[in-house]
Amino acid sequence: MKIFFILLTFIILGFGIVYKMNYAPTENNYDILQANYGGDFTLDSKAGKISLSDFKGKVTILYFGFATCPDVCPMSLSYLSKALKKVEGSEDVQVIFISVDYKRDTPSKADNYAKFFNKQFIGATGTKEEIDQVVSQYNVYYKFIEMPDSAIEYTVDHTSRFFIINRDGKARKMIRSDEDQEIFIKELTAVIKNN
Amino acid sequence: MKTLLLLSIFSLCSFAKLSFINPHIAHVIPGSKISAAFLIIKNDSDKAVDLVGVKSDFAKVIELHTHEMEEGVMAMRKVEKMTIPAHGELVLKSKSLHIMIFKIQEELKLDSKRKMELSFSDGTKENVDFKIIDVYAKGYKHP
Repeated sequence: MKIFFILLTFIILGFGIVYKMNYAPTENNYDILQANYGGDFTLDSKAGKISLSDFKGKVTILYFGFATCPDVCPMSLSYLSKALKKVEGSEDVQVIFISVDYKRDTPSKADNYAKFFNKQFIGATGTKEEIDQVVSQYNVYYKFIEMPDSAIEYTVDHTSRFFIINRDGKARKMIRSDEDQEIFIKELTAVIKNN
Repeated sequence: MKTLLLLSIFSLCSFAKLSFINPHIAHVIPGSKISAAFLIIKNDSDKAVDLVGVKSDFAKVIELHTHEMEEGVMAMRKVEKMTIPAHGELVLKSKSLHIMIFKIQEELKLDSKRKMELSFSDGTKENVDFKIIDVYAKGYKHP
């Protein structure tokens, strides 16, 4: 009987260890370095053509959205602006808001929208081909959804995530825009410090 | 008997007892003509009631919308009604059910209040004052 209880204890402990190994959060949950996401791209900004490679030497954050987005995009850009104020070394971080709504948004509209949240942010967009290329590089989903019975006419379903790019232009982290701000700050700080 | 009959009719026709908590409109981004409004609607009656429409004199079109987030993808859709359960509440907040305001015709000054008329399925209409708030400012919390 005693042996049975000792065995049972080991079995329970064993299950516990295996569970912990498989399900405990790891520091690399947000790491996309191995996922082959990212790469250079060129889009139109208010100031002319910009490429990701123009920002080599800086940590860059990309957010994909659209300027008619009434809630999620503004909240996400506002989240970024507030979070950056809490991060040491964030003065050297460049945020680029990429509007996937090439039909409705001009580079100027995208830029004004981004700058409302932080004057250092840049807004950019491109042609359908350019947008399709960059979203495919970053595995971002977007789709125009017709809304004939709504004044918005069409909305854009889109991935709402932040992509943190290191100083060498490599996509390092992908974080949901509704993630806990402390986690975002920790992940961004790690890229600023360790590239 | 007559009084009893009148009381019964009054009871049958009774409307939902609604209260409106923290009604506010998101500060409009410069250059934009759209915004969103949020609040909590409490229903203290025994009957559920639907919010079926919103009107105002400062915007040409106001609609009821919802947001759904699935696997990191955000989708916004129009809805025809939002239900306020009996003895319950309806919460309109960011990334969820909200009032979408299109074609804003005039400047909505920060901290000022603007009226919106909310229509309900029991035929009642309520004029509610919404405060214009910088929802992007530090410290803002949705209802």
